[in-house]
Amino acid sequence: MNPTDILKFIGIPVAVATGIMLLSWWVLASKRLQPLGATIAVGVACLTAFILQDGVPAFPPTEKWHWLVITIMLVSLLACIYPLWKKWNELIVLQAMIAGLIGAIVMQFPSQDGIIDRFVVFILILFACVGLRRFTIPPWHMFLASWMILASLSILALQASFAKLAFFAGAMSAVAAALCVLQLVNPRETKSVQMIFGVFIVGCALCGLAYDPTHHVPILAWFLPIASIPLSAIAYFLCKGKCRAVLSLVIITFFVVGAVSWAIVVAPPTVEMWP
Amino acid sequence: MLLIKLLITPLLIGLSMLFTLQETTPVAGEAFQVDPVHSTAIFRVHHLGAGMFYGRFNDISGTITGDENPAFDISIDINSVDTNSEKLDAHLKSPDFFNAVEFPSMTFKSSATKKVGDKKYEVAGEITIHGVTKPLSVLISKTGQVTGRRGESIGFEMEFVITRSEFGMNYGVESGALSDNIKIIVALEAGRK
Repeated sequence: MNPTDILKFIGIPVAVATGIMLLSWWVLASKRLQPLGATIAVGVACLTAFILQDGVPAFPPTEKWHWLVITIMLVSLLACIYPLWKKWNELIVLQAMIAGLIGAIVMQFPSQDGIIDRFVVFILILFACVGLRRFTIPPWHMFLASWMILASLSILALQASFAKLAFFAGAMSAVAAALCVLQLVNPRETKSVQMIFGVFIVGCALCGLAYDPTHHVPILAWFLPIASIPLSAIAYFLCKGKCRAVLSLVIITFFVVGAVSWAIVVAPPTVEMWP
Repeated sequence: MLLIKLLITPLLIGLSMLFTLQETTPVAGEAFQVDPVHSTAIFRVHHLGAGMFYGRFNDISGTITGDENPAFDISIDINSVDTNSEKLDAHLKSPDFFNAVEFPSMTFKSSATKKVGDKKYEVAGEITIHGVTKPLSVLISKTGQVTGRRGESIGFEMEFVITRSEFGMNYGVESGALSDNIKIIVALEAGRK
């Protein structure tokens, strides 16, 4: 891993997402169409990040982990359609269920193709998407949460010796960070974008787990960042006042730092990986 | 007349037995089984454009059939990769390279063998790595053949170069961290009882 790789694999997706988002400030001015800006930005940045890693994905994919990007593309298309439907904003759980269904059907990594596994994927996506949607009050909160969680998954992937996934998650983490800053500068409607981040977070964790058969990263560590989403959402929901935003972020921080620390502590002492 | 019958009958029976033995004798056509302990597969990659880095695969299996024009059916277990570094081994098994979870072995199956010199063969076949199959023609040297107390043993050695990006393994190619061309040397010892 060198600065050129970081600039290419992470910098370009961030530039793409930022460019689309800035463009949407002028092109998608109406409040109803505003969510399309972030949704398109995240979807296109995700595809860009993947193509930079492994080229244009084939269909059907040559490797099962490529289903991750195909799932994200499907969910991104869905997330683009929702804003065109007037009542979409009221159907948070339904949106998450549809995203969960897509994830459960399409996103099948090695050793995760049983019925129970599919059900677990569905539940995880459902909780992640609904949990993240909670954070859209205020909207920057969801981007900040996604930023932290994806950054932790990127480190876990690196610990599991899966550099492409680490770069992929790292790129999307940086995209979330960039959109968080833009959201603070110019608050916009960003409702359905949480579906993309929710599915991506669950997908990254399950993908990392599937390709780490010797468990260099403890199994539970992959699930801690996901678990932080509904737990922090519950804290956000139960608490009143301004401190609830801080409290929910503290919960996420606790879980992601815990997962990363655990993975680092149990890892065997080693020299550097392939550059 | 009786004498002639007495002489011819055993002769015919003997000849028929001889032909029967020649047809069913398993010795010449029986496959040699690759001995995983005394067989070696090593690979060489150019690291950072500086040093040559070597690694090996410890588990080789397969068969070699035929004495005159041997046919090869060889399989190498990706999970047996050994670079003397646990972390490097894990990275080579990951989807960045071989994706051992989905593609646990690489194989070579020959389809045609031509003798091109003393103990040298040009073998054409198909190599499958990372789920991608490509034609491969390789020069194979016969390193020896003996019959001892362990039965009959035969040895071959081959050396060839693959372009890993053609097999969907492109990690580190563009940045020049790891060369695209990988030299592979396989030394086989196989035996039959």
